[in-house]
Amino acid sequence: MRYTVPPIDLALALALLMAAPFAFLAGRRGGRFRGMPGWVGFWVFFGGMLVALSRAKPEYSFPLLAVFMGYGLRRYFSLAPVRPPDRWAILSMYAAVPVALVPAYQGSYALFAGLFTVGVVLFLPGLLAISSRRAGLLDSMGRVLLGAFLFLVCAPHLGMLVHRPVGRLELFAILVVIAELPQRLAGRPRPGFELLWPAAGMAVAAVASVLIGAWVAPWGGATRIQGAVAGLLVAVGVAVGALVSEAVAHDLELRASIVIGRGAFLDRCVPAVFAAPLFYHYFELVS
Amino acid sequence: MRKLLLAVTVLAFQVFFAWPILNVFAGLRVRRRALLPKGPCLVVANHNSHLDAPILISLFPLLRRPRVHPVAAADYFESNWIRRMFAVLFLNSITIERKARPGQDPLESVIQALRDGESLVFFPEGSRGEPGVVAPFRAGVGHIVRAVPGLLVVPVFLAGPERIWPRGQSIPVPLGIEATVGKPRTYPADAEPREIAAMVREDVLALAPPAPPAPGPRQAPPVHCAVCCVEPALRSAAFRNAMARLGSIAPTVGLGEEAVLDADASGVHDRGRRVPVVRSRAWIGLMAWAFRTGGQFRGLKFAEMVERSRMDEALHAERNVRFVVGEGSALVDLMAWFDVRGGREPLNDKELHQVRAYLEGERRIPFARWGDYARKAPGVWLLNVLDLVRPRRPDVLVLVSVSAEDAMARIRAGGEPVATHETEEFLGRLQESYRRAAGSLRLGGVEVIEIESAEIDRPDAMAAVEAACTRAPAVETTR
Repeated sequence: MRYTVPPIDLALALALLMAAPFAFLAGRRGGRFRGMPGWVGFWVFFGGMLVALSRAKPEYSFPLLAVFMGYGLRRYFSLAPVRPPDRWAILSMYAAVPVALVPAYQGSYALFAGLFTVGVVLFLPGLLAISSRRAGLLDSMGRVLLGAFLFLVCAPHLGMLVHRPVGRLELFAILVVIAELPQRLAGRPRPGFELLWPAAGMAVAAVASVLIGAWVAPWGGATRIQGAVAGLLVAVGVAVGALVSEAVAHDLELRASIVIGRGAFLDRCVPAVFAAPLFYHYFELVS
Repeated sequence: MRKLLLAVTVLAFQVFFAWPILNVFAGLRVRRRALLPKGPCLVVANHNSHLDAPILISLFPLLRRPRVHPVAAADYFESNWIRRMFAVLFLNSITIERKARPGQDPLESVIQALRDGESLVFFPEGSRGEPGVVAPFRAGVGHIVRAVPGLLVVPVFLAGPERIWPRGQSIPVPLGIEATVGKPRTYPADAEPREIAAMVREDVLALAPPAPPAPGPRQAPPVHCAVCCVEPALRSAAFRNAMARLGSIAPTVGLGEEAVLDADASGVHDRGRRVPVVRSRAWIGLMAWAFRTGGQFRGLKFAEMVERSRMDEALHAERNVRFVVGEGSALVDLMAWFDVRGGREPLNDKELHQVRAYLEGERRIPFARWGDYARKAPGVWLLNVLDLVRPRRPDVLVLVSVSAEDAMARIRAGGEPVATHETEEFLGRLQESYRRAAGSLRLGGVEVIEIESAEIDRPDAMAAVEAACTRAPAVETTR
């Protein structure tokens, strides 16, 4: 039996191949570019995971996404510790991973939104408030809710994209890579730092994502116009995700840490996870 | 036969239970595992959780694990059959009494096992204690070291188990574990057991990674103040005065030319902690010698400077210290020396800014300019290309200015042989270079205070240093 590689997967591989030389050359300069080769490495893995999510049967892709969400939660909470009594809230978040994924895989957004409202808006703050006598309730609540938002609300949107035409997840991956590369090379927006270069990076990222989106969209089951708009939205989502990621890293003192590599996983996956709901809802709207 | 069965049980437990729990569920990350010796050793670590012993056993290669025994408290692990089965059958523990009975040495079985070539996992705190707190180590570890001369002790710091499964909690929550292995070492067998225990505790604590900031109000990082001068004795005097002044208002650490000093309200204390250049770091000095680094950072002095900068970097994560004072600053010193020796003309602001970016690791020296830098500023080139360290920019720079004649007279009076470059003309140019370097840093937000050499003992000069340090941005609390 002859297997032909779908053109959208080839385009994703090409995007990574094109990003790799830039990343490795920038990595040689050191400083803030030191993590660039690692970023490409992450995308080889993450892009592979998205392809697997898109192509594999739900019974296989479901646990794969659950493992990713669980791993993300673990990395996040190992860097952003909460108050000792709040460990029950974290435990309930791990337990909520399959609960969030079931409606996502059933394609029932209404059920997912309901669970999100009950779980994240009512249940988690209530659980945290039980031990309100310990100092730092709001800080801890912020950390828990951000973790829940990233990995229990945003990440399941990747699972929902499984129900869209084959190739939609790969299209998303291509757009995120194309949007992230110029932003990382120009310097990501950081609170309190100059904005000229990051703004230029964002502009280039937006233009590149629009053009590439329009080019590869037909392979991902969308029209060229839809691809261009999705590219623009993903570029915005990635920029906001990067801003949040930088601000959180600054608050958790990860930038000043002498242990190299702390927080690298979150730094790489947060922009993609952030852009997922935007991408999903845009295609929901136009279809 | 019994031993074989026990080994199989231990291996099965490690492969089918400990490995998935530690690596998949808890997310164990080991730093510097290769430091673990191949022969018998005593692994000591902080103890906060039941996960600690399986983690430390898992540091060893799989086939060695049947010969690794955690030392467990008999009063706890022999209190019921489930605990006993876990400790003895699955973890291969040696149980000891925490309270010695009259006429009995509770450590006898431990010492015998070490003499038989087994490796042990030992928790000198004696119990799991309070989460995140490393209690004083009991003297037992000292007794073991004294009884087995030449015993290799491997310090390990465990971060994470105290959050995953602390004492008093029944359900573990996966949150990530970091195990940092330290260099194996021996301890003097003639020291008192309590002294040995204190030394072991220091070695374990030295491996602690910066703790992730807990929710709630947070202490700001310490303010870094550097004292620079072309004449070493004056710099040293100004450094001590600044230490004394800042120490009088808050805990202060001083990174001196040779020693690490502490200062508090009672004065400046030299606790005998030298700036070490261990054998494994001596290659840096060799590189400096091969590339003919000159001036202040000749040969091994360069390696010491790198070491001091690394300590400075580590102190930035310290939250119990309010001020860190440096006798000199690698960044300022290297900038000034490059300015004075790098070319015929002094560097302009742009070039100085570029050198600062190279030293701080913001940029890499372009390959085309490697030859130029290796020749004119080998120190800068080595730091940047080999990424040895990124010298921190001080928050406050105290520049002690001295006339070239006075500096020369002091150098001659110091009794040290005068180097060929130490002439009045050179020192005058070096002084100017320091000013230019300070000017460049001022543009980057560093507060610069210039003090005349005659003023260093005057209280108002040090009051200015204190004022600058207390209004430095790093002092502001984050919330």
